[in-house]
Amino acid sequence: MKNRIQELRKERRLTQEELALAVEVTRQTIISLENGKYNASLQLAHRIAVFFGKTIEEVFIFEED
Amino acid sequence: MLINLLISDFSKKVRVMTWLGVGAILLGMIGLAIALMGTFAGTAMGDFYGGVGAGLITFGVLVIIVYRLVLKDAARRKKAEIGSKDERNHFIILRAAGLTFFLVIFLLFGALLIVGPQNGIVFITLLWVLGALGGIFLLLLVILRRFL
Repeated sequence: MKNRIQELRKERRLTQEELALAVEVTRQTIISLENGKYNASLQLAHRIAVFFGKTIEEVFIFEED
Repeated sequence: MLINLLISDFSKKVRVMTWLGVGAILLGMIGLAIALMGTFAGTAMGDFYGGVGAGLITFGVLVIIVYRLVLKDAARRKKAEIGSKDERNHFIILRAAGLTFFLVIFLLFGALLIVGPQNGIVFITLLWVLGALGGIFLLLLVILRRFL
């Protein structure tokens, strides 16, 4: 699963720490999400999408294997 | 760590951990009392109880210091709260616990094969532990499949 978290975060000039605090996860989780090492739960994906004012599909790009 | 999975409310977790610390200190004091005054005093078992007691007291004091004093700072408390609720942390804990469980099963089985033929008591004890672990695992599988 790819995502646009890093792109959206940089557009808003936010640090990983600030985004992490806003969506209530650790900075390590944001790093893992941006690197594609960890897939967010539906709940976290929703929180991130709401934070950026986007839909989940606009932030997370589902790719079939 | 596993307490993060069991208790989602952070204030409740702080309370539980504080009581856990108090409990550890009390148990540690009992251990030290056994080591110094009981029939084990001066024996290898006495040293064992003394070591365990001192360890428990240290653990209890550290837990209380961390959860009561350090977390009085609002920023640190918020960071700790986020860390304890973080879903990736939960995922890592669960994966580590799962892998550890299967490794323990293999190690126990190995120990059973190596030590078992030499000592009957050890063989029976390890067999019971292995059986109990397998039984608990299957029971939890049935319960979790029913409720999740």
